[in-house]
Amino acid sequence: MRKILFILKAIAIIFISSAFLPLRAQVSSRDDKVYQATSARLRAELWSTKLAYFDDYKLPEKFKGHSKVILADYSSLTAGDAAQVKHPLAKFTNVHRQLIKLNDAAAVKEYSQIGYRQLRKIKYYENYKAARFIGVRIIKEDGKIEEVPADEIVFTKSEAEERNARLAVPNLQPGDVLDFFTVDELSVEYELIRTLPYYFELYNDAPVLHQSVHCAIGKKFATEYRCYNGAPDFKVSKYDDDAGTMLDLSIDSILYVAEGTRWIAPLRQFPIIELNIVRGDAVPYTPFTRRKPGDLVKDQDPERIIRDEMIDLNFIKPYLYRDPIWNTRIKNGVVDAYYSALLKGGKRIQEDSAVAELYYMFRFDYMFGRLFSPNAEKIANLAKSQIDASAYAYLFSEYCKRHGMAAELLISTTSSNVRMKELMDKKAMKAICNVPGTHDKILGASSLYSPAFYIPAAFEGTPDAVAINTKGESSKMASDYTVRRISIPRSDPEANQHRESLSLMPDLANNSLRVARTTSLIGHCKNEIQTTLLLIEDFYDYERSYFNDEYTLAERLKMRKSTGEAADELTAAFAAARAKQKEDFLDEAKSWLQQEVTDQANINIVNPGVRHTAPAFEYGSTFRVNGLLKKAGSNYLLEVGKLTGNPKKVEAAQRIRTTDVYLPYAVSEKIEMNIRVPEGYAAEGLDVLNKSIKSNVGTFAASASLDGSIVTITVESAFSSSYYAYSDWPNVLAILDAMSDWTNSKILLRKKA
Amino acid sequence: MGLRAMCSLVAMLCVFLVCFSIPGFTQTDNGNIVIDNAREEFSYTAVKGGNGAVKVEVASHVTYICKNYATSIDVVEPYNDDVRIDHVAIFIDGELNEEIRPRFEYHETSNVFYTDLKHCYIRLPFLKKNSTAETSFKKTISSPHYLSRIPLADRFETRSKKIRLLVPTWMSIEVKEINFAGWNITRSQEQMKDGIVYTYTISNAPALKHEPNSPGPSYYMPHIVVIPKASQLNGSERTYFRALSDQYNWYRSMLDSVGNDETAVKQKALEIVAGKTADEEKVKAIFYWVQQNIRYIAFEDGIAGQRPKKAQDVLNKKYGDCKGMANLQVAMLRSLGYDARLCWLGTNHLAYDQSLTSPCVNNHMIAAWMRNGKPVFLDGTEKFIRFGETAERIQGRQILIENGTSYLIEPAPVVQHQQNTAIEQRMLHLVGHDLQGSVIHTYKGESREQMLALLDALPLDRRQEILRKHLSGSSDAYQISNLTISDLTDNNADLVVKYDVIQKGAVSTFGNESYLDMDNRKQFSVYRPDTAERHLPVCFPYKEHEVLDISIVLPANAKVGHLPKAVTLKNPDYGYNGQWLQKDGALTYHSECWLDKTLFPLSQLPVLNKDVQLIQTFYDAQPELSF
Repeated sequence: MRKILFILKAIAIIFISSAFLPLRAQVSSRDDKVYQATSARLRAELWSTKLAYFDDYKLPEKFKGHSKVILADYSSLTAGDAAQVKHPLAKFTNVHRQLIKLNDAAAVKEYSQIGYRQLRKIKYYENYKAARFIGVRIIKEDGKIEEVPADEIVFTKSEAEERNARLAVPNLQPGDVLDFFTVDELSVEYELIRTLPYYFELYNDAPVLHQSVHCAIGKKFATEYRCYNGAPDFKVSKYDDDAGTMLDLSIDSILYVAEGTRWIAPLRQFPIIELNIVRGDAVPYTPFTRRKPGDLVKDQDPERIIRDEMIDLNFIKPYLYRDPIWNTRIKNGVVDAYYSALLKGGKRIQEDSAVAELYYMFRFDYMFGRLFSPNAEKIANLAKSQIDASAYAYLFSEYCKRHGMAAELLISTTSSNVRMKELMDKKAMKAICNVPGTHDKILGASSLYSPAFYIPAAFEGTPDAVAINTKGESSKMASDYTVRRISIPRSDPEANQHRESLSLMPDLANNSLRVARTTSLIGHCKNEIQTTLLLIEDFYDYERSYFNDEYTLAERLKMRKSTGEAADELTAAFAAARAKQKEDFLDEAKSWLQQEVTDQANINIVNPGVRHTAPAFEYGSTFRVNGLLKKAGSNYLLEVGKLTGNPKKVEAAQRIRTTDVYLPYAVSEKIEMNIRVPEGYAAEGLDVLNKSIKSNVGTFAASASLDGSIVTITVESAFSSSYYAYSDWPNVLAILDAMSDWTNSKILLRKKA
Repeated sequence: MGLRAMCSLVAMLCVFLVCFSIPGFTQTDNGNIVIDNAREEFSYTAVKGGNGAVKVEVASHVTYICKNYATSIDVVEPYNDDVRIDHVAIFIDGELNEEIRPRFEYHETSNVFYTDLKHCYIRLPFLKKNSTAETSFKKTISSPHYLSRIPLADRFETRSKKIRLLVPTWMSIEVKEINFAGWNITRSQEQMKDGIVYTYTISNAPALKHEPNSPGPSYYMPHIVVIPKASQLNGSERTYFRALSDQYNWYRSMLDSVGNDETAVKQKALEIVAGKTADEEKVKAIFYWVQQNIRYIAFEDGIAGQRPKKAQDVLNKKYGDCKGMANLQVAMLRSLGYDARLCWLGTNHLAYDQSLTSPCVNNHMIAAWMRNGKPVFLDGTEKFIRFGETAERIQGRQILIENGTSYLIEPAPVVQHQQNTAIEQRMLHLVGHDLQGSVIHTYKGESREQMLALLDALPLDRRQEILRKHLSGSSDAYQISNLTISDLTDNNADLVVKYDVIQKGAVSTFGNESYLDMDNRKQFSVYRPDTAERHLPVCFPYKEHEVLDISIVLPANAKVGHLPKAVTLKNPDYGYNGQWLQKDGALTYHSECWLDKTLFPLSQLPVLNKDVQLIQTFYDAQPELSF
């Protein structure tokens, strides 16, 4: 949460500082000389340093079929004091050197042009200065070593605060070995001394023969690290008379994960070491993870990080109460009146309903109560903008408290990040909301259209999320907060369903199909399409019916002083959004069917899917699909399999898998087709369409029947979980293959004699 | 992006560099912003103390108006080492606004290593409907050489734009009007006391929209090309582009200072041709060596963007752009005693020919070997084209060939679609609902070049996987195994790809009848343009010639029922042959399509569309077998 303030502060300072910048400031010649001298020194140092395996250019026979092979990989991290300081500065130096055998033109191309940010300074903020130095040598097949001169670079940006450079590597050919290093130097004020995490990834999508890591952390700093997923531990030693910490690692067998491997979560399955460097003395706001100089903390206690996070929450809380949301409700009045009416006379409503009603009221206020800028284009595309879901959840939890509900902020790492029990950094956590009572009622949002009780997929399945009750506006101390652990459930495949209903009329004269399509998306399936297709105007109309608001969004905005002047603009922007909606409908249909779609008409949002009581986003249109109805003598073939979307394909190289499978979420799909058999024709081939597969990972089933002149086909599939052990991969493949095979299905429309 | 696309991009960049600005397509136009009024004035001026040197001062003022609702747009003004921005002013709703800060940035793209092209970016806010924003630029063009194209239309609808050229009596120019037809443009020429004022006004011009597969803007955008002829100032006469010879001399003047060291490249040239005796074999060896060993890296740097890098530098560094590669080839060939020349040309991205004496005509350099007085063109940037083949982008283009103090002009050969034939032959048999068998693809000419570029870009360890995906069209129903590729480095052979295939579900069986559906290419359908929203011509990459021959061994008990009727389409610009035949116990399918030109004007697209529909009917029909 402190990040929000940090960013605001940074933006403000950058804004202020940029106002004083000369129009086209250039890097000073002094800076340039310093840079060149440092660059020359580093190259001399690095090339003369004897590193294990960096003089062995031989490629074992078994690796000759790879585009590139990393013969040796070395990383070092040094944390020490900067030499020239006005303020207390720290300096971090990160060296990454690789010896790479380039076996083909693609590898040569990858390394033939190297672009990098040479310099980045934020002069007016924290004396932040980052510089990158590079060195490149080519070892030819005859053993001759050619160093690329430093003056080969050109600048593509050369300002006082930032300088970007490019290097064209000369005389690089397949068969060469590239000896390439980058040195990143970061100088920064002590105030910001908890570094961003360093990740040492002990896996690669190219073969790595040897990898080593060396860290030398100065005596002023503390070090925290954790080895994930079986990553080998560092060898720890001291240097400089026990004043600093050295960490070393050398391994010869690095996990190879083929490029393009799908459905992975590296921080939960591949060997990685995360390392933080922390200022080793009093650090404000983080008393629970406070470190002493020289501390070395392995596998730190996540509970202490959570305690620090609570202090952050307490720090930021007053800012939440400055949000316009507290005032706009009163001014608008409509939503507030609705809620009052709902509870009038002590009327009791169900616990879930009360939470949901409050959530919808909050969302309405959040979206429309804060529109102070008459920017019609922005308003028309409001739902397409990204929301800060954590801030949204925190604000809602406080909103609940204002209305007498003891809501909790529910914080957790997300599925692409580390497990909660392995937490290393506050920044790895995101927030949603929970309202306890007779049962936990968890609410999160992936977009502003998310209904009550929606739990974003990334939070699902967390066994140990932290529920924090911040005790509302009156509580001033984080120590007053209550904390408990709860488990966030996983959704089942039925809760994340893509459902298609297709009514098909073969147009024999034109070799095409007339299609009436209705789509229903629920749960995680709908987020992206819903924000694309559902207009804010229509959302407002739907929601205002609940709040008894007699005015449309355009009318309501016209009434407001802040937005009223832009009435004409709003009308035009809404009209433009509606015109764009037609294009979006067509693009969506083409994307789902992967076929040529023409003559679209009757676009329609059947249900916006923005409330938990009617959560499915349903929409429909009619159109024509060409290319699926084929003449076969006097008969016609209809490729019904091609109307089932575009099942996921698994490349041959990925069919053999040794790593666990992390799907985004459990999911199901149901496609129902009703095909009207043209007069004078009979449908054949229905029996072979029936298929069924069931295993521990999910199902695939297809069935077809004929009722009078209507052929009904149903195709269903489901994956029961978002996680499978690699031993289940064959079963996952079996379902994917069955789905793919079924796309070749056809029926025959035989002309009756 | 492949090499060809990169070259095209660099070609466009050259036009930017040399020929002043062309409006970019950085933002979608939805009609909300229009240019209410634009004025641009170009004044030829004497350079103070310049001994007769001339510069061009440019003053431009554009007023944008917001028609419907508040928004913001990015305005981009390009400049480079020869075009300097002296002053920028921004007005919002009529008031000078000094808070909006223009950003001056290098033009950075992953496809061009370096260019001196820079952009001045301004984000203009429109606070409400009918808000206006104005930009005012003052620029200086260092020499009349660098003012050539001036566009009249823009990416925004333009209500009125006026171009004025103020030409003093001591300066002579010629103005060429291009693509004026269909646009509302007036022009006048006014004789003043101290010179001539040319005025062009365009009114109610619709926005220029980007559309995929379009030719370069010079084919459709209304613009003028200014040709500076000469100046006579303070007794000093300067000639610019009075005739093509002047342009040629200007190019040559840049070659004078290149500094090639012939002896430095001779050793390598001798090494490359070692063991070869025939002249053509030696030239071919040099051509292929440069093609395969010099990486294309685009490097455009002002005047240096017109001047090739030293041949020995390109040789040592093993990279270069079109100029560097051409120069190296020429230097190597000359070191061996051959008559080799540098050549300037415009690719088919440009609508001009050498009759227009302006640097904007040329965006590419190649080499020529003079064999018996006739040029054999060598384009080192076409990384996989064979000696004697000609890439579409230079076919028929007029080529300005170095010839001492004079020059030659020769057109590059125009070849027919047969140069680029791609044949796919499948030998299949029925196995249940599938077809199984073997496939051979043979690629020639530009189809070969295209495939080789794809293969070359693929990492060794993913080459098979990605090629399988490419050949199967990402379909699981076309399952490829035992894939082999012929020697990619054999310049004398066609590219041959072989594999075994299972076409899953290609046989649909209903009772005793089976239907076959195995043409997963349907190549002619690809030519179908979307005419509903199309405003621009369509440009295909090269003259394609695609042949698909399938032979299916029929089981002994199979009888062929209905066969789709053969179809033949012959048009001067394209054609198609498709037929099914039963012969010697086999069922054969032949599908062949070709293009005899690549640029299709808008007027021709409905006809092409109709023909595609006709062929689609053939594709959609399936043969019937009974058992």
